[in-house]
Formats: sequence, C-alpha cells, structure tokens
Amino acid sequence: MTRPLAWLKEWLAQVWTDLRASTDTGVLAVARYFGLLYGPIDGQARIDEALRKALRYRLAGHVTWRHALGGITYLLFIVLIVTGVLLSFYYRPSAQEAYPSIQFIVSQVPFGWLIRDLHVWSASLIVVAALAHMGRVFFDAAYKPPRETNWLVGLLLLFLVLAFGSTGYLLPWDQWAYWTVTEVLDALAGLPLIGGPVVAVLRGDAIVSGATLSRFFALHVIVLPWVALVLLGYHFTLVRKHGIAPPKNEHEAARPAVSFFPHHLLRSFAVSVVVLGLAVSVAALFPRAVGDPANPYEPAGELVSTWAPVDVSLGLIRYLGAWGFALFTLLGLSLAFIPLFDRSPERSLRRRPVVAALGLTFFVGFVALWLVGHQVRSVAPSAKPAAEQGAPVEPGITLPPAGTTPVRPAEPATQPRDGSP
Amino acid sequence: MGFTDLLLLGVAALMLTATVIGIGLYSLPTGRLQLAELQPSLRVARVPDLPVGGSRVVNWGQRIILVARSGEDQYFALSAISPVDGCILQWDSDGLRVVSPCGYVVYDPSGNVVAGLTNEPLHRYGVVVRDQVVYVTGSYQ
Repeated sequence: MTRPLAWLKEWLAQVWTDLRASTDTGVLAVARYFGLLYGPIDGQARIDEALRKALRYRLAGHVTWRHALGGITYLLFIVLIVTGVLLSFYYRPSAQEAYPSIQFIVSQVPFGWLIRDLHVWSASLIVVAALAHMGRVFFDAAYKPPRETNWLVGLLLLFLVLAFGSTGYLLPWDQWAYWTVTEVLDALAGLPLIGGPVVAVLRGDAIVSGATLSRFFALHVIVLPWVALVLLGYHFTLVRKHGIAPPKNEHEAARPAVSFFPHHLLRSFAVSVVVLGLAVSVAALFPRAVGDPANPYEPAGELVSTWAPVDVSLGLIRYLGAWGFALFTLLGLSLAFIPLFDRSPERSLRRRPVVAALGLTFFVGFVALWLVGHQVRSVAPSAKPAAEQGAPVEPGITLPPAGTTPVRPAEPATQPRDGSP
Repeated sequence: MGFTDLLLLGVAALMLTATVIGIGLYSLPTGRLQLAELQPSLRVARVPDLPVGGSRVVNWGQRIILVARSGEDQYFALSAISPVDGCILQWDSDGLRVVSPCGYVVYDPSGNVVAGLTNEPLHRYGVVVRDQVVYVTGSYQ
C-alpha cells in the first residue's frame, strides 16, 4: 500500500516541478480573475512562491459568514454550468425533439433525473442567493464610493441570472413552459415603443414556436454565458481592487484578521458542502415534474410554475398588468443609480430612509409577488390557441384549420403479421 | 497530518469520486433517443426475419405502413390504412394482393385498386435492403 502512495507522491512532485519550470504566474492570475484566489499575485516571483504569497494573504477580521453569500451564488453558477453542459449532451433544441429528449434524460440516462433537477433547483437557489448577496451589500451600504461600479456590475449579473432562467424556462417545451412564456411575451409586447421590437426579436415568429425555442437556446447556452464570463471577471477584479467594504463599527473593526489559507478556504469549503448538500437534497426530494408536451393549439389546463421569478412575473402581469411588470422592472433597475445620489459616508440604515424605503419596496415586493404569483394556477383567459391567431407554428409550415388538434405521434413499434418472432 | 486534515481530505475525495463516477455514468451513452417521424428511413426487420410471403405493419411517426416481401428480392411498402373503412390492411401472399379485413376492397402490390368501392390508390413508400436489413424510405423511387 505504501509503494503506490510513495509513487503517487513522487509523481505529483514531478508534475509540480514541471509546472514550476514551464509556467509563469499568469496561471495564478487567471485563477484570481475567476475569483479562486484572493491575494495579489507577485508577477516577479516563481509560481510556487507567488502561490504561497497569495495563500498567505490575510483578510480583514470583519469578513464573516455573511460574506459567503456571493461565494454561494458563484458556486451555484458553477453547478449550473456543469449540469447545463451535461444536459446539453442529450438535449435537442427543436420543437419536435426538445420534449422527448427531456423525457429521455430523466427516464433513461443514468443520474439524468438528478442532473436535470440539480440544474432546475440551482436555478431557483441562485436567485435567492443573489438577492441575499445583493441585500447584504445594499443594507451594509457597501455600494458606496469607491465600489459603485461593482454595485452596477452586480446588478447586471442579477439581471443576467434572471435572463438565464427566463431563456432556460422554455427549453423543456412542455405546456407549463409554453403558456407561461407566451403570457410573459404577450405582456411585454403590450409595452409601447420597445415592447414590440424586443418581443419580435425574442420570439422570432408570430407565436411562440420552434423559432423561439432556437433563439432561447442560443441565448441560454452561447450569448449569456459569454456575457456572464466577462461580467463575473470584472466583478471579481473590482472586489480585489477595492477590497471588502470596511467594517461598519468599531466592534467589527477590532476582530483579528484571518488568513486566506487555510481559514477562509476552509470556511468556503464548509459553505460549499452545505450548499451542494442542500441543492442535491431538494433536487432528489422535490423533482420538477414535466407537463404535457407543448401544444400551441390548446392552452394548458393547469399552469405550474417552477421558478420564483416566473411567479413574480405572473403575479405582476395578472394583478398589475403589463405596466406593473414594467414599473417593477424599472424599480429594480433604479437601484443601479442609488450610489449616484447616496454618496455620503453614512452607512446606518436609519439615516438613509429614502434609500432604505426603495430597497425594502423592491425586496419585500419581490417576496410578496412571489407568494401571490405562486397562487396562479391557470392560463390567462386572454391566451389564444395558435389556430385562432392564424399563425404558423413553424416557419414555412401552415396550420391546419381551427378546431383540428394534431394527434400526438405514436411510439414506433413493429407488429409481426406473419407469425414470425 | 492530523485527524482533522485526514477527515477533510476524505470528505473532499469522497465528493470528488462520487461526482466523477456520476458524471462518467451519465456521459456514457446507454441508449439512443430516436423519433421515428424525424428519421430519413425506418428499420423494419432483418431479411431472415421477413420470409417470402411475410409482412409487417410498422409505425413511422403518424404513418402506419404495410411492408411485405412478395418474392426473393421483391419488397413493397404501402400505406396500411384502408381509405374506405379505416381498417389496417392485410397482405394476402397466396393471391398476391392487399385486402381490407373490414370490407371488400382489394389492391395490388403497387397500391392500385383492383376491386372495391374506391378508386383512390394507396400511398406507396420505397423499400431499401442494406446489410441484410429492410428499411422503408420516405418516397417511392
């Protein structure tokens, strides 16, 4: 037993020696860019010395578990990337194949159900984590100069998370997803000036169809990940540049600094294990069911929402209309401008009543709308089946006349007719 | 290396191993998703499983097709639904004709009406034999 271990140790040492001989500290800089290392990288030192220096970096004592929320969001983002790549091994983005490929993943592929539900649940958890992280920064007033740019980038990342979820929501191509996306896009189309063009670009057709699915898939797996990569790198760069926001009081400032390695890394590891355990547990215990296959000819009998922002959107659209949806989105966007007029060093929430009211309206409104929207269980009465809109389901394919519902294709099967086995 | 370090390493190794095994099993193809209506051709049977005089009724998406072997190297494929009564047609190898079990309507292997109260021929599909496997293709050539 000792011989293989000794050999492994020797081999790892050799790999490390080779790496040290052939690589400059640029590798560490890349790791730092993606938030995996905190301390500055000494570009003049050898890679092992530079790594040691970076690991020895000491973080301010007031950096506690509350500061793990950003890391949790990042961890869930990585989980989403990994599970998303795995799902794309089997998922087929076309109106004919999307639904059967999801069924294939959850029923035929080993651990396919777990990968898919981990993706679905991580998509929900990341919204909670991102909002909690944003709330922590907001109420700690950590957005104040010189960190206002990072607040803006963080807000863009929150909208990016929402865009990821919105484009991914249609991909299962079941009735719930189809009619939810139809309703949200219809509401958006009702907004003056930008509504129509934006929806035309997103939908790519007169109604939600295979063309929409292709566009949503392209945005979900190609466009948005690149944007996220750039924004995340910039977010981490600014965190490193300006550091964690200073402590709010003397009590926090008095805490002794902690080293990045092993203390902070160990804390991150513990948080990661808990978050991953939670995500896997909820994925295993509460799998996201698949509705009936999308049918543009017949609105879904029941609407089941599986993503918190969808509940919020439906709550806004049903109870406040398209303008309510637009105004709440504007309220969220307006938070980006808070650092422009809240520039005093005052960080106590009580002495920032206007800002506090604005933030509370957004956060409390989000939770309230989530609860209200979750009660929506039916398709909007205004929803029209495709045949009534006289629109093709796929470009170039005309619809059958109104009233005829296409029969779902039967499973392929052979029936011997000659008595042969 | 103390007990805590070993425990930590063990937990990390366990998580890593479980993840690698899970992803490995997931990534190895165990089956194939095939949607009949989207395939360019449909596998019917191996040649030895379809003797002369034998026939098969196969589903190709929404289409139901009768495939029969009328001679050693002679195959044909027709729409299996009788346009007269909606019944699934049968191949009569002795009479070399296709008949409906529900009513009096008879077709020849080319799908032309031989007898019955209709003059609508059956849709005809192509048949290809490759590597001792019989396939139906979309169009008759």
